[in-house]
Amino acid sequence: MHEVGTSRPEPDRDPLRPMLLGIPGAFCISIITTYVLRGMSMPNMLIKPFSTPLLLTVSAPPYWHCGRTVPRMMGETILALIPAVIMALVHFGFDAARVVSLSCVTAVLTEALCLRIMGRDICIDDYSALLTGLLFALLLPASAPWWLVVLGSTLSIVIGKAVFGGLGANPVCIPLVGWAICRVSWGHVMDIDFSMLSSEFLYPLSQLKYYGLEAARHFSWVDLLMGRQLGGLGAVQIIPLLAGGIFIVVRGHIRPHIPAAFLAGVLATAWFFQLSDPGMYAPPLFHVLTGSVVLGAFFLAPDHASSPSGNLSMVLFGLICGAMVMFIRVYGIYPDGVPFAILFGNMTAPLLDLIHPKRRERR
Amino acid sequence: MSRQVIIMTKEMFSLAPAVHGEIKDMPRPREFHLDIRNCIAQVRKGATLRQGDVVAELPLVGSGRLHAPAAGKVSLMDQACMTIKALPEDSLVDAEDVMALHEIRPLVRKLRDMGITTSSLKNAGTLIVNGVNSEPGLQVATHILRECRQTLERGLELVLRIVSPSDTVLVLSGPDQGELTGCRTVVVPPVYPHGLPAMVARHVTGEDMPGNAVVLDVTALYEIGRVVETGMPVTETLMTIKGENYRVRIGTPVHCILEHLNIPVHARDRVILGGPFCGRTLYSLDQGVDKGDHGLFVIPASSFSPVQDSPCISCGECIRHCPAGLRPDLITRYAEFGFFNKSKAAGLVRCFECGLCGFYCPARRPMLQYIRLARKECFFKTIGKKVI
Repeated sequence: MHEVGTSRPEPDRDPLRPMLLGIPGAFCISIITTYVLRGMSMPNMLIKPFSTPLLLTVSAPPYWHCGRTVPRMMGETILALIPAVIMALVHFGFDAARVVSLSCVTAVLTEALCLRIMGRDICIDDYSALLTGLLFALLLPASAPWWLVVLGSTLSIVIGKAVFGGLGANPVCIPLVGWAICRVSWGHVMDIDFSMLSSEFLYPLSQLKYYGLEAARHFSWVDLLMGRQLGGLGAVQIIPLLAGGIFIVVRGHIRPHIPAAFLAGVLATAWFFQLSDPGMYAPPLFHVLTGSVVLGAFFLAPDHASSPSGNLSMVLFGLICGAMVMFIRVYGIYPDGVPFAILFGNMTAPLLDLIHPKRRERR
Repeated sequence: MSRQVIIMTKEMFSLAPAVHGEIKDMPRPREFHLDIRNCIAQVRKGATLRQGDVVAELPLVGSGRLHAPAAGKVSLMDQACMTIKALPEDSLVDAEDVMALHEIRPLVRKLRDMGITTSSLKNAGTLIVNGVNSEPGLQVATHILRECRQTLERGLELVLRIVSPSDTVLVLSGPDQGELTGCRTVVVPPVYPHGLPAMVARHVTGEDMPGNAVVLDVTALYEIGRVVETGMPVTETLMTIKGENYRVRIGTPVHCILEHLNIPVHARDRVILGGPFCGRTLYSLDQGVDKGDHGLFVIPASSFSPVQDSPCISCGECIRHCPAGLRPDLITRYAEFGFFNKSKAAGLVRCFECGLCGFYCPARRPMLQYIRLARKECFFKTIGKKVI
């Protein structure tokens, strides 16, 4: 396919190999750290027996709850990403395991440290830091060096989340903050082509950008769907991501508006481009099945705090992000613009949130 | 209602009628505990009372007076609670003919003297009778529509005199649930929160809190009808307990009811008077039932994940489920940090305290508690009465 120019140096047999059990390890670390740090910070509570025979709970209504809590939401989202992680391990081997593990553990520990510094309850057992670490890892190339993974994950948590006040206060999607910093600052390591030269797969979007439409036609739909392409290590596992995305929509953790509108935005904008010049622009389906579009549609764009809440607002948000993806891919210098497009959309989210059609005032 | 309710969310919201049979009487307890917080007691300790004697006045405008639920002697009295030890035989006050009054003002005053809260009764163009169960698990409204039509008609006759509407609407949660003379029927979905007064008003008039309409629950109509029929003041309430409807005297200690029906209560459980969305929890099983309490149930201690002092995660679930179209996330965030004027700007006055925001909040924030805090700070009163 393409010649290997300079050969890449042999990857270090690094001492971090034991981190193969990264995600389960990060789970355990998060739970243990939570309870250790909680135990250290909480005062000794002594419950004295009361004289009345029965102690009843008094609280404000409502007294029932739907059962969906933050740990459950985050946990099921992580579960939805596990198939993509498994396929990434199959395609990229130990490298992928290394990146995912390191990212997850770093995110969890950084969040614990930040919460401690902020003087807040250590709540890393709500798994939101774990999810951030996992999403960040899925966007990276499999050969990302350890320092990049650690820095990116830490910066995601610190600048994307902790500085603004924690979960729910982030103005932009958290893992994308670290990704954007890494992409702009250490572009040579984040560039998919340069860093994955030894891989047998190709990066469809850079093939399209630098060699034109003819090169893009070499990719079959099946190859793209099955993840036989380069990109973020998890972002290219299209089928597992679609399955996971549909799972969390069906479970009700995200509404279908943003994913549907995002995909529709990408498809429609790509279709308009193709209509204008069929010899230059790739078919819409090519754009959806490459890069981080599917990951972004289901897991990054619908991030709760950074996306709007009303139905119409969500649809517009998805469409804007989807359109921006195509504009960056066509007019920008980056082969794939999904994270930047979502960051742009996050900037428009507060404005879109003001769109609040009046509740049906008539019958 | 026990642990079974946790299973399906759809069942949790059903307002469809499910009770059949008669309304049973709850046995008379030996002691009555009346809540006289913020009331002006009219009797002293040691007084002997007949059933129906005035016991306390409520200083709020339009509130009905409080009457002795049975003949007895006031054995204990403090700021909060009046204990009446019941005598073996009931002796009643003389019956009064309420319908004999034709002028509106004396009629309304008479109703207040007989224990009816008349703050919502005024001259209006539309009278809306809310025949929908207000909360899931409460079955009183649909039951009395089916069984006690006579009483309701009598109550309606009196209310028509006061309100003089040009349009009378009976709102039901399904066809064939009952009818009243002179009322046209409107059917609403049998799902919470469509039984709340604001939602019922919205279905009929298009506005949540209409200016030219009076919304009256059938339970209130029933109370008025009983006053007209018997000539006696309000001394009892209808309650749905364990799936059956009971006539319970006001002031009946809750532990008597729980013992009579074999409902177990353990430490840290919640004992709730009213419904699961708008009711109130009790701090002691000695507390007595009050007028307007239409349900009693126990929620075991670890049924649901506990409410936490956690920050808002901006998921938007409360916004999507708010029936009034407000921003509960903003309202509660502002209330949390004391910016009550900003809470008001985010729509606090339109909140009718349905509790759905707290039901759906994944962060388990005490949503309704923040909203009530903000309401107390801005308007000095909440919609839920006797908050905690």
